[in-house]
Amino acid sequence: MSNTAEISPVESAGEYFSVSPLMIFPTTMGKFSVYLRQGGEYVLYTSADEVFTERHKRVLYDNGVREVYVQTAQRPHYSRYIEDNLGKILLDDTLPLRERAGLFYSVSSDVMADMFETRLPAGLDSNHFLRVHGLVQQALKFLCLENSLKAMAEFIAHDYKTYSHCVNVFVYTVSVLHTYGFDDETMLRCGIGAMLHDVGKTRIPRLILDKTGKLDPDERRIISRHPTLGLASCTLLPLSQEAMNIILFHHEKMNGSGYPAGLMAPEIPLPVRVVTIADIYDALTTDRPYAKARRPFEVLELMRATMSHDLDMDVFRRFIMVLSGAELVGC
Amino acid sequence: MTQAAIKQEKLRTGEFFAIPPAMIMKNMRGAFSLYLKQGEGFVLYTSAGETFCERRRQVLDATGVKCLYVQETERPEYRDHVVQNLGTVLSDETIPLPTRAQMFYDASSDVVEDIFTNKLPPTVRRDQFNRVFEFVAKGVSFLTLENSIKTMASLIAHDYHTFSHSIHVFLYSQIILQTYGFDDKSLVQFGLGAMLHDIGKTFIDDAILNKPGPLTWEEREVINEHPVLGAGACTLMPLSQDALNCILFHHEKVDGSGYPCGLRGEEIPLPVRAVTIADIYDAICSNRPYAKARNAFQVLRVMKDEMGHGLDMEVFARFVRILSGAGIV
Repeated sequence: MSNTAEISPVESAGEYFSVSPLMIFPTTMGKFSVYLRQGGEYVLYTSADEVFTERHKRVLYDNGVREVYVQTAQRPHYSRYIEDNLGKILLDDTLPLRERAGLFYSVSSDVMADMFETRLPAGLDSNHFLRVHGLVQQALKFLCLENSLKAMAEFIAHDYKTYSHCVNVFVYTVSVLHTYGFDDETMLRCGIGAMLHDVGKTRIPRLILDKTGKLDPDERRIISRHPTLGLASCTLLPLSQEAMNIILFHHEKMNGSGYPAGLMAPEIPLPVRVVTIADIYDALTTDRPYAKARRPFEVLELMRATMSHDLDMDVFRRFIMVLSGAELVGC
Repeated sequence: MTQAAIKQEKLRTGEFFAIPPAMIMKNMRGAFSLYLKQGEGFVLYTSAGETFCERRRQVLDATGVKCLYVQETERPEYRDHVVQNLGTVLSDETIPLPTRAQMFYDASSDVVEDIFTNKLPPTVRRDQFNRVFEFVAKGVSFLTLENSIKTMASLIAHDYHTFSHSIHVFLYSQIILQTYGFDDKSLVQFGLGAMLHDIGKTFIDDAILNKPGPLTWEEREVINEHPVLGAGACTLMPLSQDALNCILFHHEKVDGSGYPCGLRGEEIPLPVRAVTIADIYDAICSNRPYAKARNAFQVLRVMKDEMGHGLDMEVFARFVRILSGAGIV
C-alpha cells in the first residue's frame, strides 16, 4: 500500500508513481497505462487503450503485487479516473475494509500533499506543517473506521470535488485554530468536523449542486438543508459536539443572517467561525460549475470588502496570516 | 434552602409552605397571601390582592428573610403565579445564580412530583423509581449552570407547558432507557437531550404552537424548524452527541416518514427512539390544545394502532411493560 512518503523516491526517479492495484477497476479502465516494477525496471502490464479485466486484477493479487505504476506524464488522466471511481471502490463490500481504508488514506494523503504544495505558502513553518500533518493522519484514521468510511465513501461517490474541498477546509481550519493555541485533541475534533462539514451534500441532487445559473427559492431551500442532512449522515459515527456544531452551523453568519438557525455572533462557537471562513475562501479559489477560480489575493479582498458583517474579522486576520506564512505560534 | 429543608418545613407546619422571596416581584399583586414565620407561628405580611410595593421588598432584603410562606389552600394560586413568572425570574441576573438554580430545581421537582401523583397508572410502584429520580435530579442540576439556566429560562418564559412537557419526557425516556444498562454518564446526557428536545420551540410563534386546528403547509414548515433551532440554542452548553441527536432527531420515524431528515430504523440512535416514544406519549396524555387527555392505556393503544409503523416497537414494548407495573428490570 502506498502513501506519499513512498511515492516520492519513485517520482524523483522521474517518470512513474505508484498506486494500489485496487484502484484499477475492471471494465472502467482510464486513459493511462499500468506498469509493474521488476528488478528496477518498469514493465508494461496493460496499455491505455486496453481493457483491464477481472483476470488481470486477480493475477496481480495472486502474485502478491500490492503496487502498480503509472507514468507521471499520465497523472492528469489518473487523477480524473480517481475522481470518477474512488467512491464506487470504497463502497465495494467485496473488498476487505482494511484495503479500502488504506486506499482512502493514500488518496486523501495525496489531496493533502497537493493542498500543501499549491495552496499554502512555501515558507510555511515546518513545525506547523508537521503538527497539521499529524492531525490530518489522525483524522484520516478516524475516518477509516467502518461507519465513517461508509459515510465518506458515499460522499466521495457523490462528488469528489466536494470531498477534496473538505480536505482543504480541514487543513485551513486546523492551521488557524493552531494560532489560538488549541490543544491537539480539540483541533482534531474540530478538524473532523471540518472534514465532514459538507457531508450532507450527498443527499442533495447533483442537478442543484452543479447548477450554473442563479438558484430559485425552492432550490435555495433544498441546498440550505445540507447542514442538517449532514448530521443525519453522522448519527452512527462517534462525533464530538465541536464537530457536530461545525457541520450544522458552518453557514451561520455573525449578524444572524445565516442558516439553518440564524444564530448571532456570541452563539457561534469559534471553531465554527473558522470553518466558515476557510469554506468560503476555498470555494472561491477553486473552479466550480458556476464560476471560475479566482486568485487568492482577489478573494481575500472580496471577503474583506463584502463579508465583514458576516465573518469574524479576528479569525479572518489570522487566516490571512496563515496564508502569508507569517510566524504564527502563540500570537 | 434545599429541597429537603423545604419539605421538612411543610411537614411540621402542615398548613403553610415555604417559597423563595425572589419569586415575589415588586409591584406584583398576588392572588394569594404571604406570611412570615415568627417563632412557631405565621404572621400575615401582605394579603391577597394587595400590591407588593418597593418598600416591602426592601424590608425583606434588609432583614435577610430566606423564606416567605403561603397557605396550602392557596397553592393553586401560587402555582399559577409560578407558571406566569418563573421564566422572567430565572432570567433576572440581579438574583444570585444559586437562588435561581434552586427555584428552577424546585419547579422541576414539582412537575416530577405531579407526574407520580397524577399521571402514572396506579400499577407503577414509586419505590422502583429511585434511580430514575436520581438521574432526573442530576440532569436538572446540570441545567442550572449559568448558560443553561438562561436557555431554560427562555423556554419557561415562552411557554410553561413546553417546560413541564420536557420534564415529563425526561422522566418517561429515562424509565425506558434505564432498562438497557447504559452507563451513568450516558444516561445523564440522554436525560439532557430529552429535557432540551423542544428547546427550539422558544423560537416558534405561540400562535402556531397553540393553534387548535390542523396546521397549514407553511405553518408545518415553521414548526418543523424547531429541532434545528433547538440545536442552535445549545451551542454554548456542553452536550454530547447523544443529547444533540435527541434534540435534532426526536421527530424522525423508523419508517423514514419523519423530519427534519427522514432517517430510517437503525440510523436513528436508540436514545432518540426512546425520546420520540416518550414525547408522543406525553403529548397525547397531556391536555394539549389539539388533543383531549386520555388515560395511559388508551394512549398506548392509540400509539400502537395508529403510529406503530413509525415507532421502534421493541422500545415501545418495554415502555408498556413498565407502565403495566413490571418495574425496571
